[in-house]
Amino acid sequence: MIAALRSEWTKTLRRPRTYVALAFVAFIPAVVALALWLNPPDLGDADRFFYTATQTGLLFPAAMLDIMSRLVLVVVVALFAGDAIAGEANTGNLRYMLLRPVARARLLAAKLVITVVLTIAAAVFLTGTATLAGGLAFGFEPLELEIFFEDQSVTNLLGHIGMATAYVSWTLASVVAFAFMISTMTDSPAAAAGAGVGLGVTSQILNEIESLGGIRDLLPTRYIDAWRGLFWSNRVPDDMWSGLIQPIPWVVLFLAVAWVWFQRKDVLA
Amino acid sequence: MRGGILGDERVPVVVLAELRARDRLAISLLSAGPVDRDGGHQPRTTLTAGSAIQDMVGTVLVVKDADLVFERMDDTPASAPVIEVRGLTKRFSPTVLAVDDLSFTVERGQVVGMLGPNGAGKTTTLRMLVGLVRATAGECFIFGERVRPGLPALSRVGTLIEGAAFVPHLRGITNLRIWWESGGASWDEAAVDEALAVAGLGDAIHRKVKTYSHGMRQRLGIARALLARPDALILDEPTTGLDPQEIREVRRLISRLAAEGVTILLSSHLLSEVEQTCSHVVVMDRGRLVSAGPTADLVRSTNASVYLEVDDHAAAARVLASIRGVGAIHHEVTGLTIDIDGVPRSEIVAALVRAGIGVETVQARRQLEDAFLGLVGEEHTR
Repeated sequence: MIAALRSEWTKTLRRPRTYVALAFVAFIPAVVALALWLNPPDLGDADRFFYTATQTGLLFPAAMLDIMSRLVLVVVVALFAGDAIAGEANTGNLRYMLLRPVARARLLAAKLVITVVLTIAAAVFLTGTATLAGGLAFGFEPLELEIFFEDQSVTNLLGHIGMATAYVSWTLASVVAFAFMISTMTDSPAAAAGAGVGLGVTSQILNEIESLGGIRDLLPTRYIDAWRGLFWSNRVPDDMWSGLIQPIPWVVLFLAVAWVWFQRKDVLA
Repeated sequence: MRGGILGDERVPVVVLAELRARDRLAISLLSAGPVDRDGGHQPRTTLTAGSAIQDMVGTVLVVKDADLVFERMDDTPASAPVIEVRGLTKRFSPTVLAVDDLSFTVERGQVVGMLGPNGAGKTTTLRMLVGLVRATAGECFIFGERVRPGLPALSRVGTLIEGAAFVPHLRGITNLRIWWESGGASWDEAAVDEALAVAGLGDAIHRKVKTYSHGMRQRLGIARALLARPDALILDEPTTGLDPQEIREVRRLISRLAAEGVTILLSSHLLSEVEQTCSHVVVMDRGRLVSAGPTADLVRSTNASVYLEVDDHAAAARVLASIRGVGAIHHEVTGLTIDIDGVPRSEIVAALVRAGIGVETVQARRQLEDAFLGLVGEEHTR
C-alpha cells in the first residue's frame, strides 16, 4: 500500500486543483477579516461571533467555522472524496492503475488516506488562515467579554480552535465516506461529489425540523455545530462527545459498502 | 539457452545468440572478467555481477574468461499456454450477453489477432483476461494462473485497453513513473529507455499529458505497456487514432517484439492489420467464437480473389475461363479480378504465360476480409 500511496500522493501534490480548493478555503477568512477590519460591526447589528471576533482575533476562526463548516467545507471535502475513484474512472486511468500488481483493497485504502488528509487539510487551512488573519486584524487577545462568553486565556482559545478544527473534520466524515462510496460506483466525480453534498445538506435540513424528534439523532450531521460550545462555555460540551460517536456507524457502513463494491466492480471505464 | 539452469560453468569463450529478455535470465560473474557485448550498432559494455540479460536483448553476447551462472527466473512451465480462455461468459444484464461460452488459447510466441465487428465482445473478453471485469462463468488463465484482480502474473503482461489513459495533469514521464512505482517496483528496473524510444515523444515526454494529441497518448500507452519488458502483450485496437506513419511504426514494433519472443494478443477491426501482423486469428461475433486458427488456414479455407494486370484483357479472360477452379471474372479499369477456388496463383500465371499473355501484376485481394465476412455473415443469417 505504501507504494500505491506514494504514487497517489504525487498525483495529489502535483494537481493544481488541490491548491485551488485549499486556497479558496483559505481565501474566504482572509477577505472577511479584511472587510471586518475596514468596517467594524456594531454590537447591535452583528452576529455575536462576528462582533466578539473583532474584540479578539482568536474568536475569528470560530466565526468562520460557523459560517463555512455547514456548506463551503461540505462542498470542498465532497469534491475531494467524490473524485477519489470516479475521477480516475472518468479519465480511464483507473483500468491502468488496476493493471499493476496491486490489490484493489490497497488501492482503495491509498485513495481513502489521501481523501482523509485532504479533508483535514481543508479544515486546517480554514481555521489556520482565520487565526492568522483574525489575529493580525484584531489582535491575539484573551477573551474577556462576560456579556456572552466565559473568559478564556489565549492558550485556552488556541486549544479550542485546534479542537474545533479536529471536531469539524470528523463531523464531515459521514459526508466524505458517502461521497467516497458513490465514487466507487460511478464514473462521474461530479455525481459522487453531488451525492456527498446532497447527504450533508439533506441531513442539515431534516435536523432543523424539531418535530422529527428522536429521528434527528440518526442524522449523520446531527452534531455538526456542537463545537460552538467550546467558545461559549470554556468546557467541552456533552454534544461534542455524542458527535464523536454518533457518525461512526454511518462511516463504517459507507466505507464497508465502498470496499465490497470496489472489490466486485466491473471496471468498464 | 532456453532450456533451464545451466549451472556453474567455466566458460573461456561463450557466444550466446538469440538472447531473449522474456527468458528472464540473470548472469552473475563470479570472477570479474571482461564481458563484451557485440551488438553491431551497440556500444561495447562491460557487465558487472548481477547484470540482467534483459539489457542485451537482440544482441550477441561474447563472454571471455568468466565464471557464469545462468538462472532461469521464469519458472513457468514451457507447456502452459500464455493465455487460455475456457467457456468464458459475461452477462451484464438479463438481456445483455456480451461474451458467450468463449474458448481459445494463445501459445507462447504466437501473435494472435482478435477480429470481430463492433460489439462482438472483444474488449469485454480482454478486460476479463486482465481481471478488470468478472466473468459470469468460465475461466481464464495467464501463464497458467487463474486470473483475478491484482494477480502478480499480470505484471508480466503489457496491456493497452480501449485507448491509452493517463493522469492529465502530470507529465508523460511522471505518469509512467508513478504508474510503475504504484506496483511497488523500483523505477531502475523499468525498461525506461526502450519504452521512451517506442513512444518517440522527444522532449514532449516532459509535457503534461493533457497537452498531448490522441496519437501521442496512444504511443505513450504502448510505451507504458513495455515498461515491464513483458512476456506477453494484450493490445486492444492499438492503432486506433494513429496516422499512417504511426500505424506503420506500431506494426513494425509488433513484428519486432514478436521476433523477440513476446506473445501478443491484439484486437482489431482492421483486417489488413491482422493479416499483416498476426500468425493466428480468433474471430468473434456477438460474444461467440466463430473461428480460431492460423491466419493462413482461415484465408485458405475460403475462396480467394486475385487481381491481375495483363497486356491483353480479352485474351486473358478467355484463358482464365478455361482453367478449372477459376470462378467469376470481373473486368476493372486497369486489370482483372478473378475468384479462385483452390487453384494456386502460380498455375494461373503459368497458363497465361503459356498463352503468350504478358502478366504485369498478380495480387491477392482482400483475402482475410472475404474470409471474415464469410464467417460473420453466415452467423448473422442463421
